Amino acid sequence: MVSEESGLLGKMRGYASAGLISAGPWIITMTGLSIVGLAYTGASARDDTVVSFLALMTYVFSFSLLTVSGLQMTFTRWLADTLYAKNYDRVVPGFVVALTAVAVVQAPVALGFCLWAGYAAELTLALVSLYVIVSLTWVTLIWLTVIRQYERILIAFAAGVGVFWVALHAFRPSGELTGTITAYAVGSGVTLALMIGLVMRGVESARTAEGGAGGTGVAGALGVLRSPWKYPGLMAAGMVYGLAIWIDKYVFWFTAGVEAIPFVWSHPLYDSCFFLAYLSVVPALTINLVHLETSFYEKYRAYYSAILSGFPLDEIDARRFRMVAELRRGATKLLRTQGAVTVLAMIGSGPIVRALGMPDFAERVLRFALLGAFFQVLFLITLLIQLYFDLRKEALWSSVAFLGANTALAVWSVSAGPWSYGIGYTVASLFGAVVAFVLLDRSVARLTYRTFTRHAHSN
Amino acid sequence: MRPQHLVPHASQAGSVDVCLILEGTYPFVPGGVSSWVHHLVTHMPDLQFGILHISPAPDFHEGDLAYPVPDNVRFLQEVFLTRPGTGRSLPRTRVVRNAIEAFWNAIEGLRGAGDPADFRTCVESLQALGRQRLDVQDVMLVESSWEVMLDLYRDEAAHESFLDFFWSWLFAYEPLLNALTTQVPDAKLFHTVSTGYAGVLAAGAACVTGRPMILTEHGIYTKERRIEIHSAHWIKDWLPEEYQVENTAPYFQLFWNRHFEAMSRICYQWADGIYTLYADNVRAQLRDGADVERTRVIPNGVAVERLAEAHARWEAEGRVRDERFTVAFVGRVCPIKDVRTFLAAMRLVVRQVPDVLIRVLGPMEEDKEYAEGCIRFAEQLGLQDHVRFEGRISIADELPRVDVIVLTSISEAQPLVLLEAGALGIPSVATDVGSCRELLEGGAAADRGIGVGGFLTPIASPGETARAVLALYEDPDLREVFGKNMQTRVRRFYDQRDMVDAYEEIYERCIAGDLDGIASAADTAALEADEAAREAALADQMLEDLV
Repeated sequence: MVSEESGLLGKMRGYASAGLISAGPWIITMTGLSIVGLAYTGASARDDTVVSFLALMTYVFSFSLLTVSGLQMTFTRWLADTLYAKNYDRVVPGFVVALTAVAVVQAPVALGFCLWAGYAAELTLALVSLYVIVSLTWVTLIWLTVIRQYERILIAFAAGVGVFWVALHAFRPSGELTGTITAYAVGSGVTLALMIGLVMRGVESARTAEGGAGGTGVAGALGVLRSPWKYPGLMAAGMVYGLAIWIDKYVFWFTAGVEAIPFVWSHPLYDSCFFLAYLSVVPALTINLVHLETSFYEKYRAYYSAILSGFPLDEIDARRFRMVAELRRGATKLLRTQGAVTVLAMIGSGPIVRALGMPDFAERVLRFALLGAFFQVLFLITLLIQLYFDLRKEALWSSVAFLGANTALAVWSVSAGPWSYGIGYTVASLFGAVVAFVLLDRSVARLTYRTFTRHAHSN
Repeated sequence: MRPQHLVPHASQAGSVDVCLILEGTYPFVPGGVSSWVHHLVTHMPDLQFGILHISPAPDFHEGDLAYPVPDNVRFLQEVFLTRPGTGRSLPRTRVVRNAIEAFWNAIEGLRGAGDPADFRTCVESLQALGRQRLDVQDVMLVESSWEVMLDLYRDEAAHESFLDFFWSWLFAYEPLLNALTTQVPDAKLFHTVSTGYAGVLAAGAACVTGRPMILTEHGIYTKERRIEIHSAHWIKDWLPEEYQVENTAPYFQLFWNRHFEAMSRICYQWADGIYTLYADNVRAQLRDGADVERTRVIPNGVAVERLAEAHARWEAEGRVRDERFTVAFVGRVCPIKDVRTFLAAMRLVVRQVPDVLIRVLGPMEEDKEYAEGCIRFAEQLGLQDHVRFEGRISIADELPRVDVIVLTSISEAQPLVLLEAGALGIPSVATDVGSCRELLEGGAAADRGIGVGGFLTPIASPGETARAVLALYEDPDLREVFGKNMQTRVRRFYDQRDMVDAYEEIYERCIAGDLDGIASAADTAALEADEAAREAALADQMLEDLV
C-alpha cells in the first residue's frame, strides 16, 4: 500500500502524485462552489445573502488555494522522498508539522482580513475557522494519497455535506450569512477530522505491514518545512499555476465587480458562468486522471523499468513509443468525450442561462467559459504529465505562459466591455495548453537522454 | 603537512627540468614504485622536478604524505579523474563544439589503428577546453556526446544492457577527458611511471609541447587491469547500488580490456624511451604495440655498498649467527605473497630439521585479516615454537643472520629482497614469477655465466619449496657458492647507483635534445632473437598439440 514499488520507480510514482494532488483541490473547489451556487440560484437568484455567501466562499477557496498551492507541490515531493527512503516514522510527524505550519500561517491572514474589514465577532470566528479548515484540507489531501482508499475519502466528504445541511438549519437563525458560514465550517470540520483519522490509521497500518522504523522521527519531519527551498522550481510552478487560474477572476472582481459585503468583491455573472463551466469539465477531468493513474502509469513504469533492468536500447525505445501512444490514446478520448459534453453545453447555453434566471447576454459568456474550461483541462492534464516526468522547468514555464496571457487578456476584456467577457480566458487557456503541449512533446522526444543525464549528474 | 616550497599548481612554479606523471603512488601511497621515485628524485638534487599526480577524486588522498618531499620538487599538482559536474548546460560556442567533436573523433580513431594526427587534434582542442574551465562531466552529457555514444552502442553493443553501456562509457572516458584537459606544465622532459591515464597524459604533454617523453614501467598496467577485469569486482564497486549492474558480460570485459590497451598504445606511440625492469616485460610491451627500437631494460638496484659494509661487519665479527638453521620470508604479509604456502612448506622442513628457525619479516598491517589467518594457520600446523612473526625490520641489520630467503609470491615484478639477500651472500628459493628467474639464474648470456643464486619453484607448491630449502640445508657449501654468485651478480648488474646513473644520463640527453642512445639497440637484437626462438617453440608446441 504505502510502497507498492520499491526503488526508483516508487520514487517516480510519488512525484507523479504531486501533479494529481494539485488537481484535487481544484476539482473539489469547483464542484463545491458549483453545487452550492446551483442550489441557491434556483431558489432566489438575486438574494443578497446568497450572493454574499457565494462571494465569501469563493474568497475562502480561492485565497486558501493560492497560498497553499506552492507548498502542496513541495510537501508532496517531501512525502515521496520520505516514503522512498522508507522513513515511515516521519510520515505522521511530517503531517502534523505541515498542518501546524499551514494553520499558523493561514489563521493570522484570515484574522487580519476580518479585523481590517470590521466584521462582527461571530462572523470572524466562523470565517477564520472555515479558512483554516479548508487550508488544512488541501494539506490533508496530500497525505491521503498514501492511503489510496478513495471510497472512504468520498464517504468523509459525503458526511461533511450531510452535517452541513443539518447544521444549516440549526445555525440559520443566528444571522443568515454567519449561520450559513458556520454551518459550512462545521461540515468541513467534520470532513477534515474524518480525513485526518484516515491518514493516521492508514499510515500506522502501513507502517506495521512494511515493518518500518518505530518511534517518531520528529527531527526528520521538520524537513517538510525545508522542502520549498529544496524544490524552488516546484514551489514556483505551483504558485504560478494557482495564481494563473484565478487571475482573470481577480481582475474582474477588483475592477468591474460589486462589493457584496465590505471588502469582498465578486462579479456574480462572470463567477456563475465559470463555476457552471467548470462543473461541465470535472467529470471528464476525473476520468482522465484515473486513466493517467492506471493505463498510462503502466506503460510509464514499463519504460523506466526497462532502463533500470538493463534492457537493450531498442526495447527501451519501443516502450517509450508505447508510452507515448498511450498518452495519445488518452488525449483523444478526452477530446472526444469532453469535447462532446462541451459542445452540447455550448449549444444548450441559452436554455441553461434562462433556466437559472441569468440575464440574456450571459449566454455568450457561458459559451466562452465552457470552451475556456475545456482548454484549461487540457492544460492541467498536460501539466500533470510534465510532472510525471519531473519536467519542473517546463511546468513552470507553462504556468508562467498561462498566467501572463490570462492577466493581460483579462485586463483587456474588462476595458473592452461585456461582449468580450470570457474570450480573454478562453484564449489564455488555449495559449497555455499549446505551450504546455509543445514543451512536453519536445521533452518526451528526448526523454531517454534527459533521464540518463539527470541521473548521471545527481551521481 | 606539505613543505612550504611545494606549490599545488604547476602554473605557480615556473619551468622545471623534469615533470613526473604518476598515478596513485608518490608521494601519497607507500610502496615499491613510490620508493623508487623518491630515490631517483633525491639522488638528482641539481635537477628541478614537478609532479602531476593522478588521483581518483578530490579528497581521495587525505592526510599526510607518505614521503618527505625533497626540496628540488617545485610543484605537486593533483589531477582528478572524476569530479562532480555543475549540472549546468554548456555554452554553445564553437570552441566547445569543436573540442567535443575532436575528442570523439580521436576516440574513434584510437579504438582502431590510432593515427597520431587524430590524437594531436584531440589533445589541442581538449587543452583549449581545459582553459575554458568547463566541467568535464557537463561536456560528457551534452547531447552531441550522447549521440556519439548512441552510435557506438548501435555499432558494437546493440543487444547489451544499455544502462551498463552508458555507465561504462562514462567511467571510461570521463577520466580521459579530465586527464587531457589538464593544462600541461612547462617542463623540459616528461617522465611517466606507468601507462594508463598517466601514460595518456604524458603522451598528450609530449604531443602539445614537442618535448621528449619517457616511460618507465614497473608492472605492466594492462596486465594488471586484465586480471582485475577478469575478477570483475571493481567494476561493480564503481556503480551506485540502485543500478544492479552485471558487468561480467563478455562484451564489457572486452570493452575495458580494449580501453586500457588503447591507452597503452597511445603512450608507447609518443614515448621516446620505453623502459622497464626486466626482459619479459619488454615482450609484454612489444605485444601491446611498443616500438622495439625505443625499448630498454633498466633494472632496479639495491644499495650495494651499504649492504657490503653490513656483510663485512658480520664477517669481521666472526659470523655470530643463530646456531639454528634460519629460513626467512621477507615481504608484506598479504595474499599475493602467499605466506600460507610458505608456512606449509616449512611444516615439511621441520620434519627433517627439528630446530629450524622460521622468521616472517615484513609489515602485517596491510591485510590484518590475512595476517591473523596466517598466525592461526601456523598454530594449526604446530609451528608455534619455530615461527616468529616479527613485523617490519631493517634489512641490513637482520638479514645477515639468515641462512636462506624464501619467496612464495603468486605475482612479482622485480623483488628487491632477492637482490638484497644476494648482496649479503644469502641464497634464495623463489617462485618462478616476474623476473625471479632472471635474478637468480641470470638474464643475458654474460649474466647467466655467473652462475645460479638459488632455486626456482612453481607457485603454490609447498612440496617443491620444501625440497629446495632442504637441499640448501643439507649442503652448506652449495649455500656458499650460491651466495657468492649472487653477490657477483648484484654488484655487476643491480647496483642502485647504476640505475640512477642510467636515468641521469637519459635525463641529460633528453633535456639537451639528443635522443639518440636513450634506448639500447644491443638489448633489442638479443630480445628479437629470443622472441623469435620463443615463437618458434610455441608454434612447435601448438603443432604437437594438434597432432
